[in-house]
Amino acid sequence: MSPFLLVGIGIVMIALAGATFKAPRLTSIVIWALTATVFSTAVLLLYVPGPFAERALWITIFVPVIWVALQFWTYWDRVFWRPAAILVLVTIICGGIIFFSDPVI
Amino acid sequence: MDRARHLRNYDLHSWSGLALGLFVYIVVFSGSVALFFHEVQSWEDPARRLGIAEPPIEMNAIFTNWIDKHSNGDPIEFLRFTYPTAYAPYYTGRASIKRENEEAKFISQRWDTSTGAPLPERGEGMSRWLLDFHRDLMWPDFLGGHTAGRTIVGIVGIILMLSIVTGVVAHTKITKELFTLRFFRSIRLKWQDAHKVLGLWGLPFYSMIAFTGAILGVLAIIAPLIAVLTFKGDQTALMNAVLGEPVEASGISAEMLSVDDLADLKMPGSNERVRFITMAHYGDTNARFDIYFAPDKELKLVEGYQINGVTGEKTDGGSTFRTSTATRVLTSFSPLHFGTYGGVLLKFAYFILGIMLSVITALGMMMWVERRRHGSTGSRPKKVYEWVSKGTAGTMIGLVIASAFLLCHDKVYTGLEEKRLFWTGITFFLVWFMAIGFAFFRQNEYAVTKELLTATALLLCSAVVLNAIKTNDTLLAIFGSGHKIAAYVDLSLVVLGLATIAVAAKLPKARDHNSNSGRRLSDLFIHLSLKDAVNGIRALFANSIKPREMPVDKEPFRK
Repeated sequence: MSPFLLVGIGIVMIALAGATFKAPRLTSIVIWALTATVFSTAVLLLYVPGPFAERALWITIFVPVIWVALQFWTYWDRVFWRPAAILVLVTIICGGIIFFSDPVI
Repeated sequence: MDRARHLRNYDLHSWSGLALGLFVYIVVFSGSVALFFHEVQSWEDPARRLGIAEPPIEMNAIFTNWIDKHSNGDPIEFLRFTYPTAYAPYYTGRASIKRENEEAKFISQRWDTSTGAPLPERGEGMSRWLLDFHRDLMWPDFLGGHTAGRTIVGIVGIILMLSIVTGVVAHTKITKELFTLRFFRSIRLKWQDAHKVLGLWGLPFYSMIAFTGAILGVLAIIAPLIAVLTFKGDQTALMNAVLGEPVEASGISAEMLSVDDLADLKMPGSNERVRFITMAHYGDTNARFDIYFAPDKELKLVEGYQINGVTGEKTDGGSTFRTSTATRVLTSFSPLHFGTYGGVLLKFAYFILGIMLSVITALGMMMWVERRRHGSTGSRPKKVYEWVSKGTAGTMIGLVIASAFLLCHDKVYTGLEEKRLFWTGITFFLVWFMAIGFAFFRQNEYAVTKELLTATALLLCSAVVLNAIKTNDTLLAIFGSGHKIAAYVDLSLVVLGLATIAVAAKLPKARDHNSNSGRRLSDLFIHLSLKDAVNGIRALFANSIKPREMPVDKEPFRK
């Protein structure tokens, strides 16, 4: 990977970390709810049993529901940092699972 | 629910509505108009008012000659043959031909059902503009094109879902609010009650439209994202895994089945006739014809099956034609969203509910501004809220008048047909921006709304007159025996014009500056709730009637 790209990614990560620290609910609803939705549904698609086409269609149907549920939860939880922490954790764990999984082909 | 949580939820509702309220309004209003896509197409295009010959002329020779003439041996990427319907009473052929080292060329032709003569092509215009503006905001290619536009519209669906959820949670007294409409109280209370009543009564419809809209929109981003993650970027592999592997051409030429013979096919278990056929590998022994029928009873836009284009034997068309619970659910979203499953009366019901949703969005934004311009809420200078108010009024009513203007534009346009859509878009934005400019120039949003709505009503009625002048078809065609769809559109435009004039006449010319007080004796008799009335009398004597509102914090997002 190009060093410029690495630096760019690094800057974005630092900016995201700063924004999350400063406004955890706002960053959660705008960014982390989406990333957690996408990564967790991708993991579901990899590991839920059954025919692939069926799984893909069902998961597509549930994506908006999961996304909105997570967005709603970010302002519902009494502890302001908890949604951000959990959503970031879900994103990282699911990202790791996808990274180390074999592609579905 | 504790107070802090209630306030957070309320803030989320108001800020999600405010931040993307205009987008939601634009998508919802354009969607309400786009419901009548087919009817408006009949109104704008005189060729759609022809009768269908009985029996229609045989088309196979004409169709194959047309393909041979244009393809000239080059590969045909896409080919479709459409049979006549009430909304398009002619045969249509569409093809995409790929020449070596050139971009694919798209061609289209319509033929008269009685003579087989080619009908003059008419460029896509107002109906296409309004439909695509709803579906992808006509997003420019250099900014990502239709996919990006569709994604944005899908995100609007997500925001609408979030607003609905937070709105419902915010209403702790739903049964009471369903019947509370205090028309003669302060502006704020009137708007607030109308926002709640319209929102709660139409809740199932709004939830459905937001969810199906989100699905139809976010599919554009979800599919590539899932491909990147699970297929390591191979989107074709993902499509093949879901839809099935496509058949390759054999390279051996063969005679194709006649489109006249295929017209007699029936969908098993249904009496519906073939609506259109898409053809892959035309002229090859491995040709595949996807035969589509109008749906019988299921919530589908179309249904069908695949056959071999040479032998007519049924083949496996992949998940497009395979019926499973997931495909049944997924394919129901389009008809549910566009209201195509229940005739024109259902479309009118959708239209009214869509306009109600637009009004709810508008009221939400108006309340937000009103609280800040004429209340104690808000930390910005009044000038900022004044600008927001003008911009909101101009954008919202501007969209209405721009849409109405397109009806007249369609009838007076005399330019090239292939440029019709382009000039439709230019006219649309020009009128819209002029309306926004007028809102800032006029310095009175109440007058702006009233005047622009009156102008909209005049445009709607003018369109009927222009249609009569240009096509000689009038409202009286309803009583005749020929084509009636255009006449019903005329009638709807007149009714809509009169309703718009009535609404505009009822609107105030300026803000009633005494409307904040809410201390009128007459108010007490407007309450639909007896308990409220008793409380009102008590409060009146105590000289302490105040608009019942949720306290709003000055900070936009609480921790």
